[in-house]
Amino acid sequence: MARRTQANLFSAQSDEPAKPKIPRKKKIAAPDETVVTGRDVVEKPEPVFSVGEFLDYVNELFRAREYAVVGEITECNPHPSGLYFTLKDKEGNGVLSCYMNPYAYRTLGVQLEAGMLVKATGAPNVYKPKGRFSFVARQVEPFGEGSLRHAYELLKKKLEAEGLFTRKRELPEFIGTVGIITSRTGAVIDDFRKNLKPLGLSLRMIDVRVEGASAPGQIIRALERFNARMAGELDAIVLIRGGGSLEDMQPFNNELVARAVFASHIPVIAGLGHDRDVPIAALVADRATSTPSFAAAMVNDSWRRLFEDVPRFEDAVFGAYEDRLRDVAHALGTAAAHLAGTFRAIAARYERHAERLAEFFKRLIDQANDRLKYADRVLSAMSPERNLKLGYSILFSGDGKVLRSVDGVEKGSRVKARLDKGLFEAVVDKVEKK
Amino acid sequence: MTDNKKENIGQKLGKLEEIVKWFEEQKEIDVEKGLEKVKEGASLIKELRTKMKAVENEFQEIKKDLEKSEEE
Repeated sequence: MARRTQANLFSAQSDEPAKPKIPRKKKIAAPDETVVTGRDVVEKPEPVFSVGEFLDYVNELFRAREYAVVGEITECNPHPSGLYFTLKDKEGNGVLSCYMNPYAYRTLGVQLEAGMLVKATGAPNVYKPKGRFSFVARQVEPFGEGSLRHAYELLKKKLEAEGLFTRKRELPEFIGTVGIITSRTGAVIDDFRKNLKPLGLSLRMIDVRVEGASAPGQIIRALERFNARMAGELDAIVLIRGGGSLEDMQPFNNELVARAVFASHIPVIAGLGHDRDVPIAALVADRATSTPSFAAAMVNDSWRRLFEDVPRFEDAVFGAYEDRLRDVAHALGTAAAHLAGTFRAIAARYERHAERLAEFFKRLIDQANDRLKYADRVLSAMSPERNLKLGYSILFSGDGKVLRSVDGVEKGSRVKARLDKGLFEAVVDKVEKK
Repeated sequence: MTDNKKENIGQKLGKLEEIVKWFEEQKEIDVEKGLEKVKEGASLIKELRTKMKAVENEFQEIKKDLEKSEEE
């Protein structure tokens, strides 16, 4: 019991990774094994294998768990049938022939070359036809700061030469639907969401590993998923992760991840924390920042025109019209004052001239009256009635014509005389001419 | 956001900008015409102001779909 406790404590404190359990799908049994019969334990003879059986048996044992081997690549030969490379210790004389199948090599996303220190993960295997021992690597990754940086520089140079860093697409205005690729655990997603303005945005997240061997594949699948099924819906994809060492950031320095970012039809914003080297995926992305909160700020910024222009335009439209109305009101006020002044002047002038006009008209009327009186007097003096009253009479001939002289008046002719208050007729008795 | 919604915001801002330009270009603003423009501008501003109001963002994790695609 004490021993078990010690073992458990040891296991818990050990830095070694947990050993994978041995799968027991198909057991290749040794030809002879120990047999227990009754109370006696009988030692059987050593098992005897055929060569093929033995190699199968050994390979089965090798495949039961995974091993990680660190070494420097001395030879590296990519081939259609896979990658063949040799690892050796930096010091000492250990050499290990390694093989990686074509699919694993194609999906590695890391450029390997001689001189690079790598960690190969996989299991040993003996190639039956040749009896050759080799290490079948499932995963190979640069190991150590120097090697990681070298791999980073190699990839950076390669993709830069291909022009993957120069294509920068404009982010759409008023980003409304965002595809987020990150880990659901940790503060990153919370930071991103917290820093987004409440604009009624639709956020669609795919949870992925952002560290470790499975991360590149998950990130690539998430990018493909968004592009294949939500291309018409998403305005932008946001790829975010908190800061980490060069080793932690390896999934974002993976060639296949970088190419998947480049292949995205939807613009990609990378918000990847980093110390010194900007992750390759960030270099390829259309926009890159080093924190999730800055990535959120980029989304917010796509709405800037609305928030800046509306208040400005509002001031411009209403301000211009208000100014105009003030001008009109001022002009109207001036006109009214001018009109009132004119009327006042007219009134004053009228008052000033009224007396003179009255005098003028009175004079005119007096003059007219005087003239009328004079005319009346003249007319009165010349009136025939007045002369008749004074004793004068008017003689008319028999045919009614006024007799102005005795010419044509003969004795015995009849005449008519008009006097004051009446007429009389008479016969001419005598005519005397002077 | 659908293209229509985005276009609407962009178009409305564009129309509003045209009204601003109209006012800037006038040597002497016709009071009647100006009033028409102000009415049109006020309507656009009102609609755009609704887009500026705080509306909670909607969050959804697409997990099952991805798992399906992984299974595929």
